[in-house]
Amino acid sequence: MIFKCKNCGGNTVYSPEHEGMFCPYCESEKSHERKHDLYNITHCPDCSGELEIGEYTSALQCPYCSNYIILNERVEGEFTPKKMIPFKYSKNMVKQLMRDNFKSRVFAPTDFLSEVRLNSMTGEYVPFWLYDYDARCVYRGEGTKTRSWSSGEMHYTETSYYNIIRDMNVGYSDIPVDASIAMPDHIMDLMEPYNYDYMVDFVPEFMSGFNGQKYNMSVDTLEKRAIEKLRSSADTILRNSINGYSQVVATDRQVTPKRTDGKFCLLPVWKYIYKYKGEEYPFYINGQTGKIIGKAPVSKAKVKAYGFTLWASLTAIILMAGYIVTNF
Amino acid sequence: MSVEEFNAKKEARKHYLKYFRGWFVVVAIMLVLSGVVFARNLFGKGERTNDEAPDERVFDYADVLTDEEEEKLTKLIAKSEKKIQADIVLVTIDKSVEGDEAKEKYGYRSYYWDANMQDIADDFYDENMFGYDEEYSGALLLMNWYEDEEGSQRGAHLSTCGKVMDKFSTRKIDQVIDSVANVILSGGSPYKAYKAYVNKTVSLMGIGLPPYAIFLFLLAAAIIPIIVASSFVAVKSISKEGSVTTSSHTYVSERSSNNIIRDEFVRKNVTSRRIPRNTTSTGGGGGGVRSSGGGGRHISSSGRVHGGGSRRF
Repeated sequence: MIFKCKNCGGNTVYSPEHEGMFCPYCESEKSHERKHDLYNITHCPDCSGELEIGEYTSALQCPYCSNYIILNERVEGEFTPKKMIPFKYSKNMVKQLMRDNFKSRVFAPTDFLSEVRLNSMTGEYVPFWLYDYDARCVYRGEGTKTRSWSSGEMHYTETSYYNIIRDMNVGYSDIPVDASIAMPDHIMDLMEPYNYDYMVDFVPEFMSGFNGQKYNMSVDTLEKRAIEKLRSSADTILRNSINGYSQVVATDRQVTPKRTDGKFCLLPVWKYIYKYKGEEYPFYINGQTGKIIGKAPVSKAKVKAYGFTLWASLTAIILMAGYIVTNF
Repeated sequence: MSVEEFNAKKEARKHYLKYFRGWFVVVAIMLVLSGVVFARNLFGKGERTNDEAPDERVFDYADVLTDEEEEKLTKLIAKSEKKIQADIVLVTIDKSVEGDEAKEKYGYRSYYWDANMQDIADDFYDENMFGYDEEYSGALLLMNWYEDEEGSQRGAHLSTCGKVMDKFSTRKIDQVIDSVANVILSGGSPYKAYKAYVNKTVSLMGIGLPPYAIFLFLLAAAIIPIIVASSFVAVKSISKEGSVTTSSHTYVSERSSNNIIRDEFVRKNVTSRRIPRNTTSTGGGGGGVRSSGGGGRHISSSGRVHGGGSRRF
């Protein structure tokens, strides 16, 4: 499907600035209508150009006519996302974010933040599974407290022993796990947290203007990553509930998670791949919060030039200051 | 080179110049200042502003110098005065400055050698209107050669004024007198002793930085920029991918409940030991006072402030 403007026939997209559908050609708002409701296409329904459709792609831009196409069969039926968080940051806002964030990186290559390079970034709706759990956390252990004092010529040490018992039910909701093979797991973990308050029911028109994927793996396959996150949280909660002991020895520790829900959602991510000297430097920006993940590349030529200049200026200043002071 | 590459180079150069603008401005200012100092040293410093003093600088009342030696000293002094921007005067006398008899005979203020030497030196300086500039900058060495059956009154007093007084601590005054005394005591001629006085005064008025200070300074110039530049490079090269901004409670819901939170006391035991006796002592240190100039500051009879010090030898 393609969303077109009723007024001018242009491709309407979701605009974070307008918080809704927008036609960039005639600047109409909410003028969209759904066109080309086709299934299993291989060519652009608008210009007939051949599309390169990835295995999991659910939304893409036609490389010939630049229309954003959403693939019906990949956002419907079992692949219908339950919820989505629309982009809050537009491309222009993210470009500004990148510039502000990396402007102090003087060693970054000159074109790292150039308009042309930054324009190559793409907005991606990344498939996520959001898991709900009830976890029973049971803990048993022995804690010791010591106290010491002096009286006269004697020094006393008192050791008290305690049985520590914890039994807690911890509820978890919406633990996110990305269901995209192309997106690196540890980067997607760093994208967190998303603010779920702004999550809306899925509507395909909000995908217009962005790339998208259906889930690459099932809710059961990815569950182990959710449980990993849950365990690390539960361990911390248990540990934090035990206070005031100088030493604690655990005799029993059990975390039993029970999944209560798992829903398929689309979460917004901006992707900027910067290529420098044959290497790729990927940057991912949370499309809702603007959190940036990525390492700024370093230009060796700049390191040398800047380091040397600083050294030379400082040496010259000190030597000249010495000359002036001693010969004044 | 493609147009794109050319533009990137141009852009990079612009960033570079903008980044180091402040540094380059400072370097340029220092260059100009160094040039000014260099030119001033090359073409001479400020001209003498005081024209009330006599041209003569060597007053050999004790007659210990030959005419030729006096002339040579006068020449040396003329050259040195330009260098340090201060007058250098030498006075030799051969009369008693100590005791009742001398006090009555010459109308001194005091019975004592030190006080009288100081008075004579200061008064001579003031009455002749010595001083290179408005501050009356200069130094005067008064050397007494008097000797009689009661003993020797040989010794010297150095009177300082203006810039020389500001710069000469008691220690430096001692150094000047030492330079004279050392020549005399080791059997050197008075001429050599006075030459030493002039040279020592010039060197102490000069840079004032002892060799070890210059060494430390060069060491600093060699080390500090390397440290600063390498830490700059290190800090600016550190690149963090991003940090974790979720906590253990990010996904915990309101459905959570605590069934049991219990800490049961089981038992306790107490151990004891004798505290070993230990003796400790405390010590303290003292500090010294250092003066940087104005050694022996006092006001002479004409009301002008002088520095100075003297010693018999």
